[in-house]
Amino acid sequence: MNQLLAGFLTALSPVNLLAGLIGVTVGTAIGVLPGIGPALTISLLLPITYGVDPTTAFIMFGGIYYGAMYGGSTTSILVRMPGEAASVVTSLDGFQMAKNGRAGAALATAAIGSFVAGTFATFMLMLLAPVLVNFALRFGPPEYFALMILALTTVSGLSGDSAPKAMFSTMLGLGLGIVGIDMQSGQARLTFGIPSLLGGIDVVVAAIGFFAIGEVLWAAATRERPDETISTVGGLRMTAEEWRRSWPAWIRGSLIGFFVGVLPGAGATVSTFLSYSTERKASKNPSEFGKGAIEGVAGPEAANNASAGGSMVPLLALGIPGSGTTAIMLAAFQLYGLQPGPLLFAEKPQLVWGLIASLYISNALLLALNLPLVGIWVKLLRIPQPLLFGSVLAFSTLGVYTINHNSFDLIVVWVLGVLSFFMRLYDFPIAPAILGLVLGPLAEQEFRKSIAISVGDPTIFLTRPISVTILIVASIVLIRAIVPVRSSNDGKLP
Amino acid sequence: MHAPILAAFMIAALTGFPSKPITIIAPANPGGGWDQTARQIQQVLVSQHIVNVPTEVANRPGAGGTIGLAEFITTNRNDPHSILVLGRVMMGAILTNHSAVTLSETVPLARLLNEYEAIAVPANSKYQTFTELIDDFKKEPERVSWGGGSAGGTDHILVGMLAQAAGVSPKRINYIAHSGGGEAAVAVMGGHVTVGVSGYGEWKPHVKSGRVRFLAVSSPTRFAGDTTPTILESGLDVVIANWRSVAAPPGTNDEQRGWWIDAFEKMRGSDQWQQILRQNDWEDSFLSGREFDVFLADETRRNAETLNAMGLVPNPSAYPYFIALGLIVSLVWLWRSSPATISVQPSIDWRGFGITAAVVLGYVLLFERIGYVFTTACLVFLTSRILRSRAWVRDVTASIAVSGSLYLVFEVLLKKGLP
Repeated sequence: MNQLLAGFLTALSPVNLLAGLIGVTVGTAIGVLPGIGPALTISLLLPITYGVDPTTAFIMFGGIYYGAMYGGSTTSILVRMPGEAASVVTSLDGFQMAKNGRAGAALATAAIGSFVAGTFATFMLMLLAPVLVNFALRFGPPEYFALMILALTTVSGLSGDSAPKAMFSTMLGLGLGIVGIDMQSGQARLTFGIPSLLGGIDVVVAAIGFFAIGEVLWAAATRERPDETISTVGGLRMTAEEWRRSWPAWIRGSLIGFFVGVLPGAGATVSTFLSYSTERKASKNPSEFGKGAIEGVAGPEAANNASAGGSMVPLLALGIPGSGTTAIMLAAFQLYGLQPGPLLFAEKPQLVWGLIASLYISNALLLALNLPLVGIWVKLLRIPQPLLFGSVLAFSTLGVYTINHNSFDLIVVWVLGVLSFFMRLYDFPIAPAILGLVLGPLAEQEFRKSIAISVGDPTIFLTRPISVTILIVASIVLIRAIVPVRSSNDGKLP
Repeated sequence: MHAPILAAFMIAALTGFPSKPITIIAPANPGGGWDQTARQIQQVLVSQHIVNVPTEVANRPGAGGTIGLAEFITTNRNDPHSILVLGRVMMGAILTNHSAVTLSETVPLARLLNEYEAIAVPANSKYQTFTELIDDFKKEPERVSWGGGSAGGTDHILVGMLAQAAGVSPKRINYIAHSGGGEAAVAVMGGHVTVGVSGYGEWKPHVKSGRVRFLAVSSPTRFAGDTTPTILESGLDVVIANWRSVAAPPGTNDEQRGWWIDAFEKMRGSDQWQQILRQNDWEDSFLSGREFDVFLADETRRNAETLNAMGLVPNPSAYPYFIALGLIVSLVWLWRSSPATISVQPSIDWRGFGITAAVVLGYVLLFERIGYVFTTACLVFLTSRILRSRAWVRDVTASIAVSGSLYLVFEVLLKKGLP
C-alpha cells in the first residue's frame, strides 16, 4: 500500500498529471476518429516523448489507451460507425437507443460503465497480477479454441427471427475471415490473386462497410421525411430505470472483460461479444436486444475497458503484449531500455506503481471529461440527416483509408455496404457476420494448433479441465438456444 | 548553427537531396522487430543530425512485409525520400505468398544488424541439453512441437535446417506458427509446445525471470556473458542470422544511393547506435555496396533451397469447405423452412439506392486520383442532395467545411498522407 501511495504521489506531480490529461484527451479524440487506434497514436508520439522521463511517457500512454476505449463508443452510438473493433457490439443497441431518442443515456452508460470497469480492472491488476499470469499461461490452444466456441454461441442472441438466416450470416462472416494468408501454412486463401487481400479483411473495415455504408444506402432507399433530425426524448441523463438496469451489466461486463483481457490471445473484441451474450441471457426481456436495450451498451462498454486493464497484466507481469496497443507499449518500454516482467516491479517500483496509480487517475479524468461531452455529442444529431449521412460517408471512408493506406480497402467497404443493404432487405441479421469474421480466424487457428500439438488426437479438447469446462458451458448455451427455436419453427411449418 | 548541421545543409544544397521530409517504412505493425528497427534508425538519424529534414516512421503491415514491399515499389518509385526496412523474413514471405514483387526490384542500401535465434524450453521441460532434444526429434519428429513465428519465416527455416542437418525429413516437422515472438513465448512458458524458436532478445527477459531455459543459440559463437552453447557445438552444422537491412525504391540514382549509404555509415559509427545494438543483443553486421548485393543474392538462393526442401506446406485445412457447406445448408434450410420469409420490402426506392451506391463507388475509385478535398466535398454534397436536402447554400458550405476540416486533421495534424 505504501508503494501505491508513493505511486499516487508520482502520478499526481504536476508534470505527470498534465501528461495524463493530455493522454486522456488525445485518447478520447482518436477513439472517436475511425481508423486511428491507440497503437498508432502511441507510435506517432514515441519520437516526441523520447527524452521525457519514462514514467511520464507511460502515464500518457495509459491515458491514451483507456481514453480510446471511452471515445470508441461515441460514433458507434451516434451514427453506427464503430471507431475500433472493440466497439462494434456497442453499435447494435447503442445506435437503436440513439434512434429512440436516448443517445444521451447510451453515451452516459458507456462512459460511467467504462469508469467502473477501468477502476475495477486497475484494482485487480494491482492485487492479482502475479496470480493471474499463471492462470493466463494455462490457456493453450485448446482452451482458446473452447473460448472462441463459447463466444460464437453469442450468435444465438444476435439471430433475429430466423435461425437459417442467422446461420447464413454467420457462415458468411466466417468465410470473410478466411480471406488472407493462413498463418499455419503461410498460403493465401480466397484472395483471388489480389495482393491487397493478403492481409485479410480488417474488422473495422468490415464493420464500417456493414454498418455505416449500409445505413446510408438504406436511408437513401427508404427516405421518408427528409431534413428530419433525431429527437432526444426525456433529456440527456439516465433515468432511474436506466441506472437500475445498467449497474449489473457494468459489473458483469467488468468481470468478463478483465478476465478475457488477461488472456494474451483473446482480446477486447471477444470480451464484448461474450458480455453482450451474457446480458441477453441475464435479461428478462431478451427480445428487447437489438432494439435499444441499455444493457447491450452498458455491458460491452464496461467489458472493453476492463479488457484494456486486463491486458496490462501480461504486459507488466510477463512482458507479453495482449493487444496491439500493449505491443507498442512493450516496444516503448524497450526503447527506454526497460524490460517489463516480474523484475520490473522490483527494479522500477516507482514506474510501475506510478503507472498503476495514474490508471486510476486517468479513469477519473476520463469520466470528468466525457460526461459533459455527452451533451455536445448529442447535439451532433441535430445536424439535418442528409448532411449527417454525407459526413458519415466522408468520415468513415477516410477512416478506412488511413488504416492501411490502401484504396482497395475502400472497394471492400463498398462491396460490403451493398451486401449489407441486400441482407437488410431480405431480413438477414448483420451482426452474426461480424461475429464470424472476428472469431472464425481465431477459432480455426487455435483448433489447428491444438491438433498439431496433440499429433492428430482430437480428445485434447476433452482431456484438459479448462477447455472441457468451457466447452460444456458452450454446449449448454447452444442447446438452450436451439431448442426453443426448433419448437417455434415446428409450429410454423405447414 | 552547429557545424554538422551546416555541413549537412551544404551537402543537401549541392546534391539537392534530401529536399523534403523522409519516411522510413516499416512493413509491419507497431511493436514488431521491423517497426522497432525503423524507430531506432529514425531516432539516431535525427538526434545525430545525420538527417536534417523531418523524419518519420510509417507502418505498412501485412503478409510478412510483402504488402509494404509492393506498395513501396509502386508508389515510391523514383523517390528515395522513402526507404524501407526489411529483413530475412521477407525473403521467405515473398516465396510462400507467391509475391508479384521481389527484393531485386529495390535498390539495396545496407545490412545493418544481425539478430540471432535461440531455442528455448519451459523451465520444467525434461530436456536439459540441446542434444537430448535432437535425439528425440530424430526418433519421433512429430512428437516434438516447435513453436515460432510465421510459416516460412526465419524461425521456421531454422527448424527446417535443423531437420536437414539431423537427417530428419523436413516434411515431418511439427511446426506451430504464431503471429509473433511474444505469442510463441507464451506457448513455451505455458508448456503448450515442446520447444520454442525465436530471437535471442525476445527470450532473454523470460529466461531471466526463470520461466524458460535456453538450449542453444544459432550464432557462430556463444553470446558474451552467456553459457548457452551454439547449435554448432552439438555437431549440427547450422548457423542462421535474422539480418535486417534498408532499401531504397527503384529509380534511386547512384548519387542518392551514395548519400544514404554514407548516412548509414555515420549512423553505425555513432555511440548511440552501438548502444542500441548492445541493448537489443543485436550484432553489428554492417555491409553495403557490392558485397551486400552478393550477400543478398546468395541468401536468396539458400533460403529458397531450404524452403523447397521443407515443401511449401500444402494447405491441409478442410475449413473453407466446411464454411461453403454451411452456406449451402443454411440456404437449403431457409428455403425448406419458410419460403414465405423471402420477400422484398415494398417501399424501396431503387433509384435512390442505385445513385447513392454509384456515387460512393465513384468516390472510392476517384479520390486517390483527383485529390481528397474536392472529391470529399462532392461526396458529402451529392449524398445530401440524394437524401433530399433542400438547402443549397447550407449543403455546399457544409460539404466544403467537412472535407476541409477532415483534411486539416488527418493531413496537417496527423500527417496521414492523403492524396
